[in-house]
Amino acid sequence: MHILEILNASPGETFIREHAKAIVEHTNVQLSWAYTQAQHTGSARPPLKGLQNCFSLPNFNRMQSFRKVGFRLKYMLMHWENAKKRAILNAIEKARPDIIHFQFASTAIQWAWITDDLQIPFTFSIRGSDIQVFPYITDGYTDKLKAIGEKAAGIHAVCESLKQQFCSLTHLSPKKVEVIRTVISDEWHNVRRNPQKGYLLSVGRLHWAKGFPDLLLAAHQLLQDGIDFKLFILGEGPERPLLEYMIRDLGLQERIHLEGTKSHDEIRTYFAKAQVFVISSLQEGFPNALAEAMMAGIPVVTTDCGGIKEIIQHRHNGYLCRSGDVQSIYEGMKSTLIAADYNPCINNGKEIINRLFSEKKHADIFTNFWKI
Amino acid sequence: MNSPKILVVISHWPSKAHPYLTWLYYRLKEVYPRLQFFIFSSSDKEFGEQLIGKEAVKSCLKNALYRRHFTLNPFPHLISCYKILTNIKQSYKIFLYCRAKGSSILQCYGQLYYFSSLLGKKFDLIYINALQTAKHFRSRNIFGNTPIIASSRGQDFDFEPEGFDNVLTQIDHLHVLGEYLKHKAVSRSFPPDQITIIPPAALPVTIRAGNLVKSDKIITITSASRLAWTKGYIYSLRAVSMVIHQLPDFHINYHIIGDGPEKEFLQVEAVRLGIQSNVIFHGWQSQDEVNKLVFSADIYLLLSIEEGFNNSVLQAQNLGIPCVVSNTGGLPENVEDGVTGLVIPRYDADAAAKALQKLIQEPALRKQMGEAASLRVNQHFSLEKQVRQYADMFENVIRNHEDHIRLQ
Repeated sequence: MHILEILNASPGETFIREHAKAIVEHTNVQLSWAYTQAQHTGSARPPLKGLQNCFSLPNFNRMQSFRKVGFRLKYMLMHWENAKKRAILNAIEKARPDIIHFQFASTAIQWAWITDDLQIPFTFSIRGSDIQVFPYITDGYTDKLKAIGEKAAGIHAVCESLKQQFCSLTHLSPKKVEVIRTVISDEWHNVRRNPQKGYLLSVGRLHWAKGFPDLLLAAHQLLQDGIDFKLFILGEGPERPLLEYMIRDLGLQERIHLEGTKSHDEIRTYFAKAQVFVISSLQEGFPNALAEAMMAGIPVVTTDCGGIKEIIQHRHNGYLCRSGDVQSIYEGMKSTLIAADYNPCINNGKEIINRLFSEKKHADIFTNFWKI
Repeated sequence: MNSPKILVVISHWPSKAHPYLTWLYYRLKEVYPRLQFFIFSSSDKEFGEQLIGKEAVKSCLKNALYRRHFTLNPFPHLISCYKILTNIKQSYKIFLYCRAKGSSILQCYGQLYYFSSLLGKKFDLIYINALQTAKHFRSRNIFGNTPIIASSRGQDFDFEPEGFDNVLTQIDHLHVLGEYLKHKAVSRSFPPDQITIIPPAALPVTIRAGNLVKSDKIITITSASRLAWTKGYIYSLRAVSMVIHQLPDFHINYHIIGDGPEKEFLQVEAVRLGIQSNVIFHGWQSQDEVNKLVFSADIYLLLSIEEGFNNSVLQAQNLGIPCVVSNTGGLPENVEDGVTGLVIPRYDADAAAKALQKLIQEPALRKQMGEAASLRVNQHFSLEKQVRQYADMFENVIRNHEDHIRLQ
């Protein structure tokens, strides 16, 4: 079986790379990647071993003009719009896939026309903002989502809550949607833990969905209580000016550090030191950073949005707060910081992540999913 | 000093974003004809006509000098080269300054080209409309000792505490909108006796026709500003959602007028809070339309987390609407707590919800506060007063400078 996955930009997000790694290592499915928004056109360097093929679809918005002229000459007798389509279809036909998989619903909506022309069945993934954000800010998005859902051979959701939201938005049968959890790499297991007292850690893009202002306000309450702590936030994004302003305004300069984007190896050193891991999101599918922290053996405090409440049971394998509720996040951080024994909570956390997020399981379910 | 020449440096004028400036300069020109204003800005001529009329805009822009935008058309370059050559001494000074800053020769020419309409001109005073503009405007290099006034309008010291120290050493006099900004400037060691406080003024209002008769059970809350993070709309939405759940007897609508980068977030957040049917996003509206919408409101809400003074709150008070605002920046000076509205701690949706609840349940209090608000604005924030204060400030600074020269 040959699957062509269509991604937005090269080299693909970490969770997509982990997914591909699991498929390639544990099954005999042949996997190829195609990028829709890459700078270059043609074959690209595969970001991991074992990929059958890796190439960029012609992107006429970003293409250099001499390449455009080349395409124009090649499809001289065709209307320009048709020529663009033909060029993309040729690139896909060359790969000869059995099934096309779109990594995001929004990508599927934009690109599903290629499957009409080639008569190849397609599947797609729903991962968060496709369901939680776009339907409310783009007119007619829900109808498009419904149309694409009807046409697709199968739909993959990363958590139950997204599946429910998708079905209630589009009124499609839940049977068509399969929940397959993401892959959490084993390497997070062997973080050598050396927790420091009062060391709080949060990981996420500095974006409104992550609810960092609530986290800062909760931290401000900790400060007023006289609790000694330091909070490190790893990630970069458009909300940085807001967070920097709030940190100054609340007098938290000594306590909160916006560390910017960090590599995997650097994140491991933060994971080693962290006493508590915090997620303050307002909107989520399922945050991989949370599963990674649980795998590494850090006690977690998290809000109950999206798929998080399916995994975290309050006080069993983590502390669950209400999302958008500063008081509740503050109480969670405080009680976890002063808790006596973390071990049961950590072990329960590790157990559930190992059970639900393993590479083997992910690869097996995905191959079944594609055997439709 | 018969008719001093004043150069006004503005980034865009007349602009869509700041209709207040259009009024101010129009009135200044009318009331003080002996002050000669020259406006230096990038051209944005279309707007302003609906505010003060086509003829008035034309007369205001008679002396306008425009920043040159880079173009491949040789004609503007020929003019700018002519200007540079005829004012070679001044140009050379700017050139040396730019070189010292590490610019390439081409970049130096770019700077000269940009300012070429100002070369060889002499002014008695330079007024820069905002500190952010002052940062990029090399007035000392171009005009030597001419006194400089700059305005601090918020989003300057708050965003970059140290970023404006350099600018403050370059200017002679600072205009601020309120005590809060003055305090900020003084804490950056700017001499307090060189600071003038002139608050913004409310625009004249034409809609006053008849009271709207409607049920006390239908409540309209309105906000009108850019949808940026500084305006703290997330707390407004949370407060409104709490009130909607706490007071099921009332039908509460929240109108948000304006556009900006946070729009997507706010739409999704309204869905998450389950109040999407109560929140109406109007997008950007003209000043008349905003006035109409605000006038039909019962309560004006703005829970900013960063603010200089805020004109829209002033305008809402002028229209006789009680305001609920946060204690950010100049807002506590803008709204008198308990008299013309309620001031609550910032970042605090619970406190805002309580304040809203109080105003919603007491129509008499709303009416009383609204009347007090419009009275206070007319007394303290009138356009005539503002125009007089500006003219006084300009004349004082020029006089002081002349005295200073005479003493030397």
